[in-house]
Amino acid sequence: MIIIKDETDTKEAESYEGVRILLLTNGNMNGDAAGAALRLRNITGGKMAVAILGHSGESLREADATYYLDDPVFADSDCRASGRISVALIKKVFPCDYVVCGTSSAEGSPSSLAARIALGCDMEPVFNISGIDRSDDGSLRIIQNGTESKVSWKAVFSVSGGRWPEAVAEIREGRHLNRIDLGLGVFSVGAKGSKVLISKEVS
Amino acid sequence: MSEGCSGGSCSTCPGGSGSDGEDRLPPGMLEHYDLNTDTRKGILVFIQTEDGVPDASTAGILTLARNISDDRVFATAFGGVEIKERFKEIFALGVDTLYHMRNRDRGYRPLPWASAIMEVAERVNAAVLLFPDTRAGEELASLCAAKADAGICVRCMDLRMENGTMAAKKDLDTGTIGVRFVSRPAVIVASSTGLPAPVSDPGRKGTVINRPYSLEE
Repeated sequence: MIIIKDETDTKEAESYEGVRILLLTNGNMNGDAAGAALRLRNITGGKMAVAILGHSGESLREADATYYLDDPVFADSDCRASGRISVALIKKVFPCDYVVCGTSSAEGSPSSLAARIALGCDMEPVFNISGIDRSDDGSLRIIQNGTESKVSWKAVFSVSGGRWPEAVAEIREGRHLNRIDLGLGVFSVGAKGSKVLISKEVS
Repeated sequence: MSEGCSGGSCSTCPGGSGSDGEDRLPPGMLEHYDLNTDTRKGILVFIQTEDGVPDASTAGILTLARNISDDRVFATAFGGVEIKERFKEIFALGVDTLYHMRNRDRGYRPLPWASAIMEVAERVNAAVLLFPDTRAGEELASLCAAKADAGICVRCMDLRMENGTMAAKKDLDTGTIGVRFVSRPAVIVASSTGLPAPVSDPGRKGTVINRPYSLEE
């Protein structure tokens, strides 16, 4: 594996006043979600940050900023606790206009995490999209279950299939954020902040 | 506190109920009440229909709900008069009370539908919200779990009640995990594989409640 160490300028992305896009992922990049985030970046001309739920993992070559949500107390978080971590990131560190969910906790799905973020950040949840384009009036046009519709500014997407531009996954250096950085209490994250406990049964 | 009093509710306790505490419980009664117990019971099932025809997994989901429920089985079905033809079939599969959700706009709208389901869930005080493994089922389950700040398990199998809490298994690429809900309500998208064989009792009766819902969130 080739490791490219690239110091992404997170401060520039954080202070950028145009459209901002956040891709949520875990250690393994979801190709569809990465492609959707890249498509959003290409359409809007905005800045894209990749937030990785974990201490290491692949970011994207095209990312303007990379965050590692990295704290031992984040371990064993269910969808509820993961949602709190994501909402805290958006509210405190990287306020954004569009979020693409490419990950979830083991028991949930990207859509279940997208719903938490949407309700937590007052954004529109848009599930299982398979295409994004810009409409004539400048708004975003999405394809969902074979039908087209428009979405408002500030939306959270989960992705299901579709043809997307190919994003290049890459190990990047980024900003490591822990519980204190995000202003979260011990009892709101990890197993203590979860309503579903997960145990390994069969390997 | 006198001997034998564990609740601080007798007349000899400081501030006890002997003299002026008319709003307090009689001596010794506190230990009979566990005020921290969750009172949620029963299961609320979302029945997905297309032009009045229930989804293929409906019979299995309703049978599953009947098998694991510790109380009544409630269900919601969105649609117009075409749903009426399915009432007997739904009751035969174990539903006690069906909420027929009605609106002039028949289109699928995730946010208003999730709000309407949550209103029913709060009304019936459901312990479990059960959804089919469909696109709409997963989306509505996600929104309901977020609105209720509840735990969710998507595509889980082997659902069972263990010591008053829901437990299940879920297959991942890396193996199988065990899932246990630590609070109620539990929001569950049951995997379409592994559903029980439908059990129908044509003689069963139930109650239908017509419930209009708003498109405003």
